Amino acid sequence: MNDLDVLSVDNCDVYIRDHHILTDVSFRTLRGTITALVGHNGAGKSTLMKAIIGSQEKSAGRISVAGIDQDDQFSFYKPQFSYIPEEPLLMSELTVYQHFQLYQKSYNIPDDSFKQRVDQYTEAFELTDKLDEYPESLSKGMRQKAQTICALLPEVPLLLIDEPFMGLDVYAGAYLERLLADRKNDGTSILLTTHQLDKVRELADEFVMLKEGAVSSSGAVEQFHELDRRHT
Amino acid sequence: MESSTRSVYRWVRRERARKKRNLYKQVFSLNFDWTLAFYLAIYTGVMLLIMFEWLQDFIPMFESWQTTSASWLWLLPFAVLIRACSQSFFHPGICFTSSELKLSVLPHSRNRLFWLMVAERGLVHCTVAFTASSLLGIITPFSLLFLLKVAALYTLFFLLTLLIHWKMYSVSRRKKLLTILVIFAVVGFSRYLILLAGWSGFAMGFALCMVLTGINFYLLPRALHHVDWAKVVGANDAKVWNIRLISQVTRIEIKPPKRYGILQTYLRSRRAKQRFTNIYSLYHRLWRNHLQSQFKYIGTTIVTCIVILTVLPGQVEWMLLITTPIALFIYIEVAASLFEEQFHQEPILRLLPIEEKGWRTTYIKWAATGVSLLVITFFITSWLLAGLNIGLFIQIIGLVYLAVHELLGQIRERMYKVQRINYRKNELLQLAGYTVLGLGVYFAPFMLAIFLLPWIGKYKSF
Repeated sequence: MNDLDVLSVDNCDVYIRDHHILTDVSFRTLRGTITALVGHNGAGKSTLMKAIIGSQEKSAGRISVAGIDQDDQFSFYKPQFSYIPEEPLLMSELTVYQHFQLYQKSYNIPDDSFKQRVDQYTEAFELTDKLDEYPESLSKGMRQKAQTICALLPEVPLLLIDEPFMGLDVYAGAYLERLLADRKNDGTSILLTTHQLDKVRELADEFVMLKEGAVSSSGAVEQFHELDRRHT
Repeated sequence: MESSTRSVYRWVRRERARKKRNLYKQVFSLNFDWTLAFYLAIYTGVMLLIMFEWLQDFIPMFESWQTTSASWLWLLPFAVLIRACSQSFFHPGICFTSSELKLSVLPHSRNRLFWLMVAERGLVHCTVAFTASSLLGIITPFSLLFLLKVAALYTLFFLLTLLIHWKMYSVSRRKKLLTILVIFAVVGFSRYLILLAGWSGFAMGFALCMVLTGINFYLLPRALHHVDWAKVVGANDAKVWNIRLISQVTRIEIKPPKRYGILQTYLRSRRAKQRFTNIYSLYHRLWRNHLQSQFKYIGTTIVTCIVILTVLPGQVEWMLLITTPIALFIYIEVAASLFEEQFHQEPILRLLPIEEKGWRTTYIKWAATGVSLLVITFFITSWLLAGLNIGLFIQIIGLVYLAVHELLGQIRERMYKVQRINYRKNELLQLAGYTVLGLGVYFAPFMLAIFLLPWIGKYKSF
């Protein structure tokens, strides 16, 4: 592992019941880069994301973020990343603002930074008038915006994003793009999955292609041409 | 088209049953043990024989119970009606899932599907009621005729309340509560009619039957009007697929829909929307919601603990020295499981770094409430059995001390588990704690040894 490595996935295998979903997956993401995780439907992208965040048990291999191993120091591992899932994971008991407060406490964000970021992001994502609403009274896009803000509140070495532009309107999508570029310039490593190949070419510096649960190719995004078909 | 709807519906049901069967098989293959099953079968057979012999000695008692039950049989229709109304808070009674709803988008009538399901449910209930009563008639000293009469009465009123249950599921909670109150008032008035006006139980049952038949006639053409379909299919999908064991073994997660009861209505009030000035209030909110969703489980545990602390020692006094540690152990294990469950149940909490201290301290306040119930029960039982004395106060102090010590320890261990931190459980010390508690209940000065346990745990690893 070198100093620039943020996420390090080594020889990961994942089984779900009897199905071998991920086979010997290894790759790294570097500081200040955006890596796109691409692949056909069912290639294992979401399973890999789940394995990285620790909600999917792996049967072999090691994963570490900023040098902290998932298996050995899980409680220190979790604060090293934040995650934007494809489907918002908001709790129906809490309003949008109360979700931000939960993230603040969980990631130990100082009050002044928290307030400044909440103001900045809610204004940019046009969510200022929805802060005291419960998730079910929001549209799907609004929920996605709330979830995105939650994940952007902490400053962490690794940002994981599953389909970042899904459900966002064009303005929010454009703002998120700028924000990701800023975070990248500040040294954050970003791993995202997307089916929008033009976005991969626009945003990403590196790519990792999964095919049937294994890494089929990886490298600089300039080398990325097209998605491998499921059966070739 | 009508027969086609039936065949498509039956095919969907068959495929659903097949999928569930496969899931059960997986669970079964993981948990089945032939040796254990063999011994269990022999044990069950012997127990049934013993019970049969034993029940013969109680024939006169059963006859007296039967006579008493017969005189109260007029209450059964009201009980079935109240059951239907109270169940309508939780599920709609007819298992109309999202699959049936999707079928109704295809060229299959929703009305036809609904009545197929009503007929199926009625038939299943009728078969179960009569089979169960026949079996009870054979193996217990109750007369078969009496039990068949109960089954017939139950089935009749079950069928008459099925549609009411279905319709009530989609009405507001206020209306449901009001209906239940009206039924209770009618029961009270009926009792008055029986006692003072000399009406017979049969007349009461018959009058209710007529009223319910009238309501059913009114509801029949309106069965599918003003139905909250999203709520109906949400509750039914959860009921059909959210089988705890299966979801755990197969790791298929289907979260049951949130129930918004009286407490949640309060939680969703304007005050609840206010931003937290103290993060612990947020944790308390989440614990309160979590515990409310597990209310049935918590209620069963507390009632079990209170029963074993009162009923058994009430029969044999010295049993208290065994039942006290058992009750405390059960409560603390359940409390610790509920703590851990929160972090597995909520997807967002699995994702977030956990702020350990806040989560632990807020939960302990909730768990301590249950401990206080056990302590009060222990105090009352001991007081009734042995009177008030200095020994009882030593026992109370020891019990509270061990309960708090164990609770803190167990919660800490569960947090380690959630955080995937390796730890070494000191089971011997835990066992010693419960043993000393039992000895302390027998002879109060022994209880003082409990205060040494944390000190021993600190300096001595077993």
